[in-house]
Amino acid sequence: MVMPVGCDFYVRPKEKNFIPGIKPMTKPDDLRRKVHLILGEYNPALHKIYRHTESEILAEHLRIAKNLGGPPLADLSDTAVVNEQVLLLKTLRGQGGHSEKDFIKVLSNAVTDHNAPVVVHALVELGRLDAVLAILGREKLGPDVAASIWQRLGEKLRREPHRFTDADLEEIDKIRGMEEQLLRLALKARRDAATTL
Amino acid sequence: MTIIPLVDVPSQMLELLRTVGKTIQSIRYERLKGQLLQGVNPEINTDREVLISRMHQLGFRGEILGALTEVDRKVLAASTPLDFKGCVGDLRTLFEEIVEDAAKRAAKLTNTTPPSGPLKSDFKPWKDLLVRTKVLTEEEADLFQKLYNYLSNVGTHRLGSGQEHVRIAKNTVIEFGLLLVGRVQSLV
Repeated sequence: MVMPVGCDFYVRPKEKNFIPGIKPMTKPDDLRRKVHLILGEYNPALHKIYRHTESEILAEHLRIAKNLGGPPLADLSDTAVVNEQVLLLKTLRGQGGHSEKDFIKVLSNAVTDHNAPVVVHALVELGRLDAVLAILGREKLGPDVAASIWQRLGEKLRREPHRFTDADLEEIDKIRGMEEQLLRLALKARRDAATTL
Repeated sequence: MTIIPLVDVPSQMLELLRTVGKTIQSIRYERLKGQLLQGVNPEINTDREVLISRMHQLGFRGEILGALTEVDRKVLAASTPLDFKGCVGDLRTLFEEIVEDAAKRAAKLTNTTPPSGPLKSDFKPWKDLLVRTKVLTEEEADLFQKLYNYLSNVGTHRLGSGQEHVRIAKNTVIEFGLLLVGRVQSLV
């Protein structure tokens, strides 16, 4: 016996690839899903951003300075980002099927204190420092996320200064100065309140 | 790597911001040292800023202004002959676009008809228009064409270029651009 498709209460829609209960995926949804999937895999304990950590670089500098001999501990000229998630995000951006604006928006909205290293490195590598600074300018940005972003921006500046033009430095320093001033005011207000009490 | 714990205490965040500030300071110092010790011409940087400001005033496409910054970024990061070739190629494109926008603006200001329809070259018709609008003399136009040919040979029709090619390309494109944009501005 051939089972009829559909019954009194359910008629199978004619759309291609329709799965009951699941809305067909639109392009932005698909992009968001992929970005979240990549970011969700990042584990700071397992995934390095650079081949060598800053401690390894420092150890190599000390080995050379103190003339200790032995094999090199790190390649000082190696500044390439090797993190798999950063590379995957860059590849995803390069694949097309979405606008740059959509990609940057989805990636910027997905930032957390946990995945900030990947997001910051990917955005700077895609030439979108402005997007990183825009995240820092958000009114409702949590302090943990802000701290994580600043930490990674600092790391990028130390390890890959060649990626930043003088104008970029000017822009980062301007925002950094404003943040510093706000924090100073907050600290002063806290001290004043404590003195009053 | 120094791990600074993620905290919500303003004083620790302040320390983080100070560290970033010190890093920026140190990059600026290294760049200044590089400029002073390697004999970089500071006049070029000043001319670059003047060029950007004049192009902005004349309403050149925003993409051209963005590309100038992007080329700077690429020059800073370039380390292989292929990277340097890419930089010269980008400077060639930038030169082409500056000439095109300058010619269009000059045509508008002098009521001259710009070339229309599909163009055989991205450079020559606009350069010729600059001569017709008297922005460039014939001699200067020849010089522009020679620079364009040089940039094409060094930056496009090869597998690699040298750092010195990038330096020559960048400096001449900025100075030629400044001459051109200054002349168009005098028509306003």
